[in-house]
Amino acid sequence: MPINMIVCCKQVPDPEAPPAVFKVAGNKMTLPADVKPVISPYDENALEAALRIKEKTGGKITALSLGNKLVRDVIKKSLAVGADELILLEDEAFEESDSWSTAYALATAIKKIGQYDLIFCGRQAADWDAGQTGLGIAEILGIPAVSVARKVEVTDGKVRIEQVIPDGYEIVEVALPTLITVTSELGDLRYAALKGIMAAAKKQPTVWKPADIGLEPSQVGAAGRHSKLNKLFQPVKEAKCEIIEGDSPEEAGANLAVKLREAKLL
Amino acid sequence: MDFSFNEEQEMLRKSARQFLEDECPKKFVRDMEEDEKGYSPELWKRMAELGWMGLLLPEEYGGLGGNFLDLTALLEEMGRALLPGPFLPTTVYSSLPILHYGTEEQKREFLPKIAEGKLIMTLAITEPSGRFDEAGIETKAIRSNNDYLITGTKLLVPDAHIADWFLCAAKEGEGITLFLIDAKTPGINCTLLKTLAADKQCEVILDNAKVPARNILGKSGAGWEIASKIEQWGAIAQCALISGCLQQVLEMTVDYTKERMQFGKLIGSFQAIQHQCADMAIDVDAVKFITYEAAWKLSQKLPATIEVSRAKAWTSDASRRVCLTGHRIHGGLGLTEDHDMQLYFRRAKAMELAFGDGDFHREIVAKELGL
Repeated sequence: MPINMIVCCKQVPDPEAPPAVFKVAGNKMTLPADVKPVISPYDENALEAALRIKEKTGGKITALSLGNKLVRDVIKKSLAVGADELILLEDEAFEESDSWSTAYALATAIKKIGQYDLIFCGRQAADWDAGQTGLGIAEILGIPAVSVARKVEVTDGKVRIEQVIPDGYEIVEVALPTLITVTSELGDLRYAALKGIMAAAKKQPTVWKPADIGLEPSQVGAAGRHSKLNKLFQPVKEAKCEIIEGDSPEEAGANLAVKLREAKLL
Repeated sequence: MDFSFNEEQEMLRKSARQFLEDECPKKFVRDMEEDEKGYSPELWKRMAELGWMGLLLPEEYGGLGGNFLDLTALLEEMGRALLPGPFLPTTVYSSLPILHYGTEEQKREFLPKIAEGKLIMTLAITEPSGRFDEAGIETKAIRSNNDYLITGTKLLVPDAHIADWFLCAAKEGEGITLFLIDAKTPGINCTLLKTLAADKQCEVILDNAKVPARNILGKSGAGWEIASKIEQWGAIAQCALISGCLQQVLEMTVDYTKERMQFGKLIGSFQAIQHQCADMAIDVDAVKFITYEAAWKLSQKLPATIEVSRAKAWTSDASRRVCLTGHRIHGGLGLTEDHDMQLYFRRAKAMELAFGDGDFHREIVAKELGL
């Protein structure tokens, strides 16, 4: 049975950039220009999950992204690896969203897309790591959600999901439609073949403004936030190195244990 | 003026960088220096699956119909990663000549296999004289019924030890003819040479190697025209590799100046170091844009003799300057085997000389200026 899938892909600053380049100024994060945008890594895992299902059962993948001034050669990676369509919610009104206003806009866009069996999101975005948007979309759409999936299979109209838990994983079975947030254990996104890159470059994404999904600018982005950022700061971390000595390795080990106990780490 | 890559080339570049960062780390580069084959068949297969071998070939031969500027974007990333293996010998030095000068039968025989990664080829032109001109070819081809018997020594043949076929230049009467030669032909003996860059260059001795007359590429006696074109493609391909290589040297060096303390300060705070880094950056940018111009001309199939030689002359000299300054700033650390600088320096040296050094190409530029 062909499956209609929607994958939410967020463009974020490259999380592999050295931490020292991320600065906070005026309650906002600032970045140097040489930190390039990428698709959030967990969203790439989500896209890979969808591609595997498409390979096995057939179907259509629509990639959906929200933001402003999205970089085409970044966000079109979804098309290059095998997504069939790319829809961008792109407008300055979408800037400075919180988890709620993002989820609301994405869920409204998904309603407009109409047909869907599975919605995939990354377990959390690499910029703020909130991990709320996916589950928020499911809540707004009134469909079940399974978080932190490491394997997803569709059989007989049901989804079988391996969900990561602290000491292993559990298997969950859900009826369609459903929303799944995906974690890195599922596997990396495949590399884009040249053929896919060339095809993607020729495709143009569909761009929707707030009005195209029936929303007012006041309902999205900064204006539509339900949370207020009180203070953004970088914690000061201090590191101290102490060499634990002893006449023998056993004695040094014992001294280390005493130190750790004193520090209440044991 | 917009000198940037287009969206497709930018996607290709990013995808290639990610692939090579994952699949071609420096440990792999070092391992391949020690490895007898000098490449990984598994990685070769994966590159073929991504379509890299068929980038420049038309769809009818299993390729993707890309152009030389697309290839430049890919090669810059290969240079940055120091990817070892027979990519250039197979694609630029062999598949392009077959595509442009081969018979339909030759194209159907070789090109789809190259695009699928199932055939490795190389170019056997240079000889012990070290010259890259007609007079440098002493290998002889003697006609014998429907075959040719080829005898001579080819030197610095890249990846010949793993190649399935050679594209070989030989003297036939007064002219030069190019032959497609099966590497398994009796009378061919291949020896791996020890080189500074630890790339895999070989000596190939042909002793009455019998080659069917149908394996001539282009016209009999008119092979130097093809060889000259290969020289242009090869020179710009080397420029693109150098560009990626030097970009990495620059980044590595600037990063080091932001970490290394001397006299209680980061060395990047000293004007003497800052100006040397600035000189490196200026060189690297110049290498990029002079290479892109020539690659663009080649991709548009425009005459590019002066542009190619200008690019290779500048790039060859700049590679020496940038690597030397990089080494100077790194100090003793850059000379240790554990550090990556020496890998880049040794590769850059090989690329500086491949398809002509600065002086060789300055001669061509001067000639094009009517001097």
